[in-house]
Amino acid sequence: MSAAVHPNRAPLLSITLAIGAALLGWPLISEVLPTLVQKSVVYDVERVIALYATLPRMASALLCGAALSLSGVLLQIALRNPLASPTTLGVSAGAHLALVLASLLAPAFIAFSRDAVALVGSLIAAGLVFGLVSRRDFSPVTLVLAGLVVSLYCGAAATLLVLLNDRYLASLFIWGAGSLSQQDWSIPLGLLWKLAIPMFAAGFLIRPLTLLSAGDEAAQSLGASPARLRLLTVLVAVALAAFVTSAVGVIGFIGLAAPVIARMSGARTVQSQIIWSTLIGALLLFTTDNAVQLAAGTLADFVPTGAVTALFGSPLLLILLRKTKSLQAPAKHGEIKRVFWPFSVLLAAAIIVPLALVFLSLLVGRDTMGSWEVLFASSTPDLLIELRTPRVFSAAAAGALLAVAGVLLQRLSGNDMASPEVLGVSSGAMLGLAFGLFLLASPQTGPLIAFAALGAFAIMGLILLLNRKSGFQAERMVLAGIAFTALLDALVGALAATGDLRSLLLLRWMSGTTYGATFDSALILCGLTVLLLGIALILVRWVGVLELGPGAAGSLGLPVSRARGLLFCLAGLMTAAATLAVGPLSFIGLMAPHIARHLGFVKPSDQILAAASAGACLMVIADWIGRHGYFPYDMPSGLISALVGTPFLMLLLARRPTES
Amino acid sequence: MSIDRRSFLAGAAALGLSSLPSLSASASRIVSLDYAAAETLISLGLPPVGVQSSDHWNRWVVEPELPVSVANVGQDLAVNLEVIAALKPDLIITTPYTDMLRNRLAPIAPVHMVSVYDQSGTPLKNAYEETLNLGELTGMPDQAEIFLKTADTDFSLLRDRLAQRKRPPVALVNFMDDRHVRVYGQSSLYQDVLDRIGLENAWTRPTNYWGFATVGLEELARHAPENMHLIAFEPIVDEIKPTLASSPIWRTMPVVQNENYKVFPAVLTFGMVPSALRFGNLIANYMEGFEA
Repeated sequence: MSAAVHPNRAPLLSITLAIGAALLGWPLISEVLPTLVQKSVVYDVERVIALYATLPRMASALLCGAALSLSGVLLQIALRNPLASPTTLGVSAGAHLALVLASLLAPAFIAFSRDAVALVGSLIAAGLVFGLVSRRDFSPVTLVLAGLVVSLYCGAAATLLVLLNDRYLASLFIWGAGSLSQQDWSIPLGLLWKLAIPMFAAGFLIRPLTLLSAGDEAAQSLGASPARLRLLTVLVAVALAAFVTSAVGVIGFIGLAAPVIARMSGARTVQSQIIWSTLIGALLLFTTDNAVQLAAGTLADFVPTGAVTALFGSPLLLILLRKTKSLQAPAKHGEIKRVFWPFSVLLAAAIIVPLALVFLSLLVGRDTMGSWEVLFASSTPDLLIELRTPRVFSAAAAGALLAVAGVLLQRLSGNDMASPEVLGVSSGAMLGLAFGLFLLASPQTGPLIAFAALGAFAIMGLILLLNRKSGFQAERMVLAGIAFTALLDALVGALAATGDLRSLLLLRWMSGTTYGATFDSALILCGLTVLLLGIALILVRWVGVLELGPGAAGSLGLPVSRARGLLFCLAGLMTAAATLAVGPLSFIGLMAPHIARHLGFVKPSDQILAAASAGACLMVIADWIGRHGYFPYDMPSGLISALVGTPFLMLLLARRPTES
Repeated sequence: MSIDRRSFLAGAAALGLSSLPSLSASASRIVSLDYAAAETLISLGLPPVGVQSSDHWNRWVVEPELPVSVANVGQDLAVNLEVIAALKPDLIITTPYTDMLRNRLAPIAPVHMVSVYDQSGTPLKNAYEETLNLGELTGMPDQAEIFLKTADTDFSLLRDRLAQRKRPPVALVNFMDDRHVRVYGQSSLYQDVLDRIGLENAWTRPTNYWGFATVGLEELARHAPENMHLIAFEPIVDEIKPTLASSPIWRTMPVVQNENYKVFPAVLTFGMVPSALRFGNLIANYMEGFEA
């Protein structure tokens, strides 16, 4: 297909967008426009606001939109990945975490240069993502999965830091991220010259990138090193995104959306992709931001535009998904020394090891002044047992559930970066909870849990419905989950942005804590765990058959798509149950399956048992740290496990022997 | 007023209608999940044995001073139940905000909810009543009465002090970020204090359940009278001060131009009678100060 058949409609689209943007922007400044030109001596509130808030905000929107889209299109071209963007590669989230970390621990760095801090954070995040992927296939989906995991991780860490440090001011500090609200011209003017350098560099990259797009050989024959060129392009893209994040916070999905829209409207060559993406991105963010302001009225400054762009952007990811060809590469498993234990021995070990940890974690705690103490030495052992038991058992059960859900998802998708966090089910539960909190007059734990379960099932149903036609193809399921996760996070963010006191409670739930566990809830969760684990062990032989490929599985008489759908349902149920206990972000479902495999348990049923045991152990440890680590404050176990476990996971992945 | 309430309480108790938990003896080891109840207990001479986030007391309450012996029981929405249990309290105090923990706290000790903010929109009056309730529960009804009588006297003294002075309207705010404030108006504790000591609030527009409205600085400039004085309470986040100093929107506001702007030390916004008195004294001193 040549460009002649599909004329480039990007210029036309840009003009349309520009007219739309002007129409939306007009009401915001029309009334004060005449006053701007006259030299007024009297104090006029509207004039000051227009001059120092409205206009700089518009300028910032245009600049940030352009920079993020340029960053996105450069990443997409350099990595040959239609899903790449500052959001999906974790670059923006890395910058955000670095800024939060620095402002809390080393404000001197921030005073020296916010941009440098953001840049370092972005580079580390990007490095991590590429590091995670470098030893497996570089397929678009895998890269984006790794990027989103890093994104979620950075977000979780930033949230925990804020939660621990400034409880009462927390809401604005967090949700204020991604706000384009301005006080004067310092931010847009500062951005203008900072962005000029990488934008200029991007101009020089157009020619060599055009060569590259003709194939690595063509570029090489003309004396350009493809690897070096790619690296340079990624660096420019990262710098663009980092500067924007440092100035206005995380603004999601513009960098993904604009290049896609440019390409869909007919921009084919590297040059036209770069130019039109940048322009469309600028207008897109401008339009979105003005629409937000018009729609939200007086609340406008409190609705982070970043959350709104994510709201619009994530459905786009869903649409893209339908266009993405199946890029699934078989998971490469390094040479791992396999271990074969008799089933009964493994089962016994999988039960005994977590139980031992459970008892230890029940025994050791602190007294009122914070000194360590063994249960029997305390003055109120009965009460302590009563308080600790439900939490410890809930943690163990949730850990096991997430681990098994992770095994199922990773084996079904053939992608070892898949995990329940990205399935969207956890986010569904959180959204249900948010509705419960805001709808119920006096929120009690019981009804709240019902709301959460309802939310989880609604999203799971939606994902299954959307994927019914594609036969529950694994990578689409996971990507749909990611899109929903982003969508729901944005919704929850917007809800919380109203600054309501209840948003702090929501934040606590989202960070994942066993605090709410009671004897009854723990009992139900443990019962569910035994039941669902049993079902998983029965259905696990399907997993082995499915891994042979749809053709082979079909010829063996397995109804492929029904089997997949059922297994996904099972994983979703497990995730929903566990999310209510330990929140939406723990990464247990990502870590535990890897640990099991590294121990040598590769056979599906063996991996399930070993992973369940490992997941339970990890969660019990995280919960214990959460309860006693930062005395007397109670830290969310879900976040602790994510923070402690993820670096460990990365080590595991990095040390993995490469394919011979 | 307080006598009516007392006789009502006595009657209600006789009919078994009292909302107060029935204690076998008066409470002496109290854990408070609320700064406001804690400051009241301290003023009555019976400091609690445990308070939520006690390490942040000096940031949000300042006065009365928190005795060092008071244990920290963790964050209000996720208090450390183990610590509370080990303190062996005989009464735990919650608020409507923390009362969702009631089921978890009840096995440890009787729970009493102190509610200052409700539909009535009269927090100071409610605070008086809740102070009497606390006096009742701790077996110190007389101390509570004396404390409130003293408070009444203090408020009238403040009123007399200010009666002869020029009294411009005041806007009372907490900074949320560098362009937005919570401004306190109808049904806030501050409004009740202003009413009692004869001062005028510059913010007369609607407020929420808790007696504040979150507005941009421009809203203040638009709706508040030109001659108002602007009082901002600590804590103000470090980043805000330098940004304000360089913000044209802030610098051009008439109230800033006229230097009618003042930062007050922290006063517990959702406090009870001690905080009301603290605010009353601060604002009276300010009113006397600027004219001199």
